[in-house]
Amino acid sequence: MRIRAKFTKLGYLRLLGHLDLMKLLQRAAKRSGVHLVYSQGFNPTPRLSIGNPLPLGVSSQAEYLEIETVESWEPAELLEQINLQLPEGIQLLDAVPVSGAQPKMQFSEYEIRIPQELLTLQEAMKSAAELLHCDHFEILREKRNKKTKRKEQIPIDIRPLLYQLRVEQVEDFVVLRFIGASGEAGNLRCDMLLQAFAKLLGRCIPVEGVYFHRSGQYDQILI
Amino acid sequence: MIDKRKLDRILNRVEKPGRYIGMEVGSIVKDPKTVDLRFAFAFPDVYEIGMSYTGLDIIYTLINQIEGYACERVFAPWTDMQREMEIEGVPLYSLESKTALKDFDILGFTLQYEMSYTNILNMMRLGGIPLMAEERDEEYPLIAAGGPCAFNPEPMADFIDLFFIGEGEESLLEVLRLYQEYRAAGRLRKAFLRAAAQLQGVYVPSLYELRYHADGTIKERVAIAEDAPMVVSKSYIPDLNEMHIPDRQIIPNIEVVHDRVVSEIFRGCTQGCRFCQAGMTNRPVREKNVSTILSEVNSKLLQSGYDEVSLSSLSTCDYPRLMELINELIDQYASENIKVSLPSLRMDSESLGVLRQIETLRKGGLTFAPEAGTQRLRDVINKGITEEDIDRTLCHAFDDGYAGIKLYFMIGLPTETMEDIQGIADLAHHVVDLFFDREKEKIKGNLRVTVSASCFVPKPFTPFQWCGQDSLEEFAHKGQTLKDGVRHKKISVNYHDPKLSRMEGAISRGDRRVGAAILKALELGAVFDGWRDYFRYEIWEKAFEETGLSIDFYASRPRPLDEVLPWDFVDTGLTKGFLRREYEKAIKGEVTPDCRHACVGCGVNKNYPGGYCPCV
Repeated sequence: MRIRAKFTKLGYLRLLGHLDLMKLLQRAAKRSGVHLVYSQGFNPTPRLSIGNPLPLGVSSQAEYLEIETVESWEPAELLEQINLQLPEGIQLLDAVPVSGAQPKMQFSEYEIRIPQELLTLQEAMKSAAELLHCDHFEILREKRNKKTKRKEQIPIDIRPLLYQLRVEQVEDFVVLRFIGASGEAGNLRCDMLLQAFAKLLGRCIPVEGVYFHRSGQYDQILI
Repeated sequence: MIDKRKLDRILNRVEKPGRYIGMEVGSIVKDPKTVDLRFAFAFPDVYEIGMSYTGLDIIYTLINQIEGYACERVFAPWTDMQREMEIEGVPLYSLESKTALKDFDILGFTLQYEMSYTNILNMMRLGGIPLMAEERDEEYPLIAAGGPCAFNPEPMADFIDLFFIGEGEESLLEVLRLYQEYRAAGRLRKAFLRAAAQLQGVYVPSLYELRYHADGTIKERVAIAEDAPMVVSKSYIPDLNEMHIPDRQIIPNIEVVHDRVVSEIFRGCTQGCRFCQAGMTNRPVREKNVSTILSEVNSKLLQSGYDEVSLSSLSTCDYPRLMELINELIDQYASENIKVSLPSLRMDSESLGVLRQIETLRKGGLTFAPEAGTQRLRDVINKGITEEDIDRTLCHAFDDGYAGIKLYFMIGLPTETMEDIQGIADLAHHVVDLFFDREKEKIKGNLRVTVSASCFVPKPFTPFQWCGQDSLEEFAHKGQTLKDGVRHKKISVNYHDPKLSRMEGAISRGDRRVGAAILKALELGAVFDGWRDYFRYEIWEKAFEETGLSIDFYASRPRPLDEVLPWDFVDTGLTKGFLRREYEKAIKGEVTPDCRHACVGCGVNKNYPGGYCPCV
């Protein structure tokens, strides 16, 4: 039985890497008595996949995993059993049985909370307006050239990857909420958006004390 | 509690932040308000290493099962984390409640290897705790230490208030209760320490003074308090089936060195290898019953979700019912994709039989430890294997399809000559011949022979405790000779720089004065000395020099049999006469049989009954 589940990655556990998170989930399933189907071959491992892995340090309330179980489960029952075995911060929110090819998540919604001493509301509003106003906006990304093995600065146009952007003030923080591509069309990460803001302001924005959070993932959005 | 916002900032900047957050399944977080006694288990190395230590689970669950007691964990922060903590002013904290070390009642360090001593001092410093025991008053935590290196506690005597000698889990709760009692009665730390010193397995260094001869050797040890015992006996658990066995492990959230269920199947060892400290100090041999092990494994597997079980001990193939145990484990768990693994196998065909059972799918490499290159030298160190054993085992191994063979040796063993070094090279070539001198159709796989030579460090409480360690020049010459002696593309030789072993040699047989050099080394920037990339010999040389000490005096000087040794006051159960006899036999190249077959008179059965000893 194939099951797709939405789960959270909050608090200190946002600091777990992708492979460690996989292992944690596989072990939780094993403890809960949910038997996962193992892969074939010399090194059988339980079948569990997570789409669109998060960068280390980014929290989320909308991650998705897919597992294949040996027995059939009532989704609510499976959810409860696995949740009992998961640490605080990582919890399954819902589980649905799936079959056949699944639509892939193409869009991510993020929240970036920036202490106001690093970026003021005025600065953020101005940069956001400028960014939304233009059709193209290039930033430089460091990439390793596969042939020469050397690091290179590659320009990327992030504007087509950005679908929505709002700025607001919450307590001492300036909050940027945006929806960006995260799939076949490309991937707009939080740090890339901040880099665009920095370019528009002509100064660097330190990331210490900044919180990155994924609040949603969608296979389609209304534009 | 430390400033969480600062911590958040730091964690975003460091490598592997999962080391510093806790939150593991199996960890126990108690509300500090409901706790009367707070103990921090401190491992002086990084998280991935400390979390692989089985003793941690024992101590952790032992203390936490008591209402009103909390045991939390703290590991050495890696250098990037240390830098960030110092910049932000965040003190070293425990993983569970994120409490600064300074706010604990007791800090317990485990002494696993000498080269972690600077890390201990560094952790105290990062926790804002004065390093010298005499500089700490009632408002600072009590600093305790235990573990294998505590059998010679003297090099750390200036810094530690109380040592647990032997199997600390036996005396730990008693000490904690006494501490609580004295604190409740409003009595001073000093009074508590004096009372604790009366307990078996507890050593309080501040109750003694050392006097020295003009030549620097120890003249005598004098008790300052009249009731301080002149002999400190190790504590030990007579029956492992009755001991506190943890029903759980803490499941790390990041990958650690040993990421699996571990069950300790017995303690002690009857082989009697003369270089091995653990084999001497952990006597008598005590075994857990098969049923005890199976129930321990079962509860840990259920709780952890691990898919591997390791059966640990000093010499796992000596467990008399090993095959029965392994078959039972395979019957119960193979269908659930759970593997069984064994550390340290002896070089005999029996071991291969065991391996055949558990290595069903993949054939990894095999590791053997002949330790010395010639039969003469193997007899000196009492490593009870012969050429025939080696031949037979390797032929079987090759026929089973193994083609990667690792061979471990020590160089610098007592009585060693250049012939023995050549013997290592010859043995490696012999292994290659064994592989190819078989029927053509049997030869499969790509043979790789890896020879790994480490530098011998004489240890306290072994028959070699009186021996001088080779000098750097001797080690280098031997290492080079070995490298030159091996000329075959199938053989690779690893020979490590002897400087680290020399420092280990100086500290492991050091006395109280060595503490000054350890402190000086820390001040000069030594930390993570057990990590080859971080170890800097020049620092240690300078530290010894500036404190007026000689590395030679401790490491390479042969000690007369009648010299007072810094650790003589510890009673491990072995008589000094036994160690001396073994030393004399070693020099003559006479072997002593495994004491499962005949008593060798080590003396342990006199004061430490229980366990497997044919004499009782």
